[in-house]
Amino acid sequence: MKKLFVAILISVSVIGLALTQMDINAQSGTTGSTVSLSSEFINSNVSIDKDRALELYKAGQALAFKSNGKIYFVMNAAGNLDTKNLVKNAGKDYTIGGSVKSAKGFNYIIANSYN
Amino acid sequence: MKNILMVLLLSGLLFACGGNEDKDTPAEEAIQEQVDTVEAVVEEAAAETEQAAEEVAEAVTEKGKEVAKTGGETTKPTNAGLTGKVAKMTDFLSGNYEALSVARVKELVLAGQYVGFVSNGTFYMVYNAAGNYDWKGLAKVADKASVTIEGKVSKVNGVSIIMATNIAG
Repeated sequence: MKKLFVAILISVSVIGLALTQMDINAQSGTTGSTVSLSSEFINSNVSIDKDRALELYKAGQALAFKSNGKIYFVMNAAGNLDTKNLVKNAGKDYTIGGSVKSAKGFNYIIANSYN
Repeated sequence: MKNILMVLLLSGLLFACGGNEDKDTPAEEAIQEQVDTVEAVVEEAAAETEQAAEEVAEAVTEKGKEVAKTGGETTKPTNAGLTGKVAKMTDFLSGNYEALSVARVKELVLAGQYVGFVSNGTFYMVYNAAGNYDWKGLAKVADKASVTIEGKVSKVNGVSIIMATNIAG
C-alpha cells in the first residue's frame, strides 16, 4: 500500500513536470544555427558565418537549420523556403518560433519569428 | 477535492512510515516479528525484481544506441539507378508539382528554393562527387518525365541525399 502511495505521488510529479516542459518548449521555439547541407553531408560540421552563408546562397548551395543534431528546412507562412532568414541569422545560435512539422520524411519549421 | 485526496494520501504515507511508540505485549511482539520477516522477504523480492528491470532497461538502452549509430547515417549504392523526376522541395510537400525547365530551376535555386529528385515517394537532395549541391545537373533534366540517377544514397540527420555519379533524362 505504501508503495502504491509513493507510485501515485511520483506519477503525479512526473506528469506535472512533463506538462510544464511541453509548455516551455512550445513557448521558447527551436534553437539552433544555420548550416550548409554540403558540410553536414561530408560530416565536416563546420559552422558558417553570415558572409559564408551569403556566398553559399548566391552559389545556390543549400542551407538548412540544425537543432539538437536534427536538420530542418525552414519555410515561411506562404509555403516558400525561408533561406534569406537563414542567411541573415547565420553565424550565431538563434531561436525560430513557429510550427515544427515532420512529413514525407522531412523535418521542417513553418517560421513566424526569429530571435 | 484533489487537495483533500492528496492530503489524505500524504497523511496515510506519513502514518505508514511513522514508528509505534506504544509498548507491545509479547503476543503482539511475536506477530510484529512475523510481519517484519514477511516484509523483509517482500522487500528482498522487490529489490530483485527492480534489479532485473534495471538490467532489462540497460539492455534496451544499449540496443537503442546501436540502432542510433547504424541508423543515423547509412550509405548504399543505387545499383542500376533510381528512376523519378526533378521537383521543387515545397511542391513535394504540398503535392502540387510545377513544370520545371532549365531556366526555372536556376531561378528557383538562386532564390533559395531548392529542387531535388523524387523517386518512390522519397525526396532526395542531389550532390556531385565533389560534395556540392548539384542543382545544375538536375536543371539539365528538369523537363524530362523520367530521370535516372546513379550513385550512392545516404540519409544524413533526417535528410535523404544522393551522391550522383550519373544523371540521365
